[in-house]
Amino acid sequence: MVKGLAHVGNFIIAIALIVVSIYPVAWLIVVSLQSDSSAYQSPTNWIFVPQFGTYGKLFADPSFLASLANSVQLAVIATALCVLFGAMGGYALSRYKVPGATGLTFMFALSRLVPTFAIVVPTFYIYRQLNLLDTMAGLVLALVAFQVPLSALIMYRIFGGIPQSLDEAARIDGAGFLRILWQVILPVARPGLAASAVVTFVLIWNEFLFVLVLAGNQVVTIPVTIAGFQTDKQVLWSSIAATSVISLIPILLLIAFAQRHLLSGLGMGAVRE
Amino acid sequence: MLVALYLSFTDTNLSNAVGAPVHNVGLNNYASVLTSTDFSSAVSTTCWIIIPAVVIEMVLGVGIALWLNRPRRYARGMRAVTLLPYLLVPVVIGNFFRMFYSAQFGQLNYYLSLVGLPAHAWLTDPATVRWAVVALEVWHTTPFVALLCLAGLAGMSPDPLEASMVDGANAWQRFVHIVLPDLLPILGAVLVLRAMDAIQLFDEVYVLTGGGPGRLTSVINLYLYQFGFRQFQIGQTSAAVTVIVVFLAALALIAFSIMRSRSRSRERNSGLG
Repeated sequence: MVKGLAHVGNFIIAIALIVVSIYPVAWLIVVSLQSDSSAYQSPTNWIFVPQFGTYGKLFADPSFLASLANSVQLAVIATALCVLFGAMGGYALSRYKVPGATGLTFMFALSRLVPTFAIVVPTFYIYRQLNLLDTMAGLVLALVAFQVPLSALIMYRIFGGIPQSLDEAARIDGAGFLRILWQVILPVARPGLAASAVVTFVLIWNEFLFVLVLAGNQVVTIPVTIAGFQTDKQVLWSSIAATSVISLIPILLLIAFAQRHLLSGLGMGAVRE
Repeated sequence: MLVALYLSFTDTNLSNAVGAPVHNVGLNNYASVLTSTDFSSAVSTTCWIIIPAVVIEMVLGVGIALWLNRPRRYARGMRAVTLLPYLLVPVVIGNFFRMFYSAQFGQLNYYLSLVGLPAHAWLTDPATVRWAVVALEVWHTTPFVALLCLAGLAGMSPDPLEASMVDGANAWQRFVHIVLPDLLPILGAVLVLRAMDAIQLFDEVYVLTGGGPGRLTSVINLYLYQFGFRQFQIGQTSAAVTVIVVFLAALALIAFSIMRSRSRSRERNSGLG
């Protein structure tokens, strides 16, 4: 009897968690597949004939396609650079006696706690003088600089778990620093690389403030596009919903196929032992 | 950040041309920021929003982590589902909630009407708008708290729990006397992280309310954005940023030293025992 009750309780908690977590995504998908006025219908039509007109319109809109291309380009390039520099930095910190290394790792951990504006304001000022405002190169540079500490921190943790004897064996065989890193250590650290890449990708994909301030006129990304919809006099909710759904696709894919890496990356990036 | 420090002592204004003469104004910027009511209202608004949000998400996060921690057949899937809100694009979340809370078309009012409650203009009523932001923030970041607590729970030894079950301790006693003390260091770290992250709140509020009605939801970052990049008062904005960084650094130092002295006294105690 008690066990039966516990089962029912568990079931209710499970359903509640699922509904609360998924509801916004489900609603956005449903609205994006209906006509523009459907968002204003209350209650929402949960059962309907899907129309792909909104998506068709979006993919015919050059400014949307440009922002999508920018988002993808930014996230891919910046993530690749972050993981590359993060791996090199993390490796150096874990293997060599770098002066001030403990202070540096502590700074890395702290760097995510610095208010974004403390970085955005001076960056804006410097970029204005260097003519880097509203350029893809400027955005990549700023986001890489902002996110590398996190990647380095994750990689530092990963490399710390790989025995030094592996390096020494390779060094005795005559391999240099980069060769050891590329051919010996990185293959072993592949899960860690994936974790750091996945987390960095999500953070850069979702980034809004940096893009809004440092670019946002010529160079626009998906989050800025979504935020921009609301300033229109006539709010086209199905377009907002469709753009949102597209923006969520990479995130959903990562949750579905790289959940393990996501969990370990978020965990390692956050908690100091 | 050094550039920000330099700017904070000048009358730099972004509407001036690049290379326009810049004057050293000493501490004037600091004086005007510290005496401005907008700044103090932004600080109090931020506290008003993040303190309830962080408290609620810590409680919920621990609860969800405890629930997820028990071995279940569908545990992996549940974990992925609960993680979802944390990874969604913040701008999308803000937009969704704007529609969800909407007075005329909002789903929230519809569901409330189902249980006989009256409709309410959640985002324009000064009495509810901050709670609406709190709810959004709780929905968005509770998974993060749960995830880190879950990692902590997974690392705990099951022996004391089993022993206490043999001794007949009930679930609440087990939680308070065995699980909670073990979880405390992690909870401390999560609390610091969450508090620091919550101060950065921007994207969601920018989309959800834009700081309104009035300045009721104009959190620190939103205030800095409007001040620096709408009114172009970069010098004064830099001063405000510097004040906030100094304040946060002091807070972080206090938090870290408390955690360190705690763990030291724990070592001493365990040494004696």
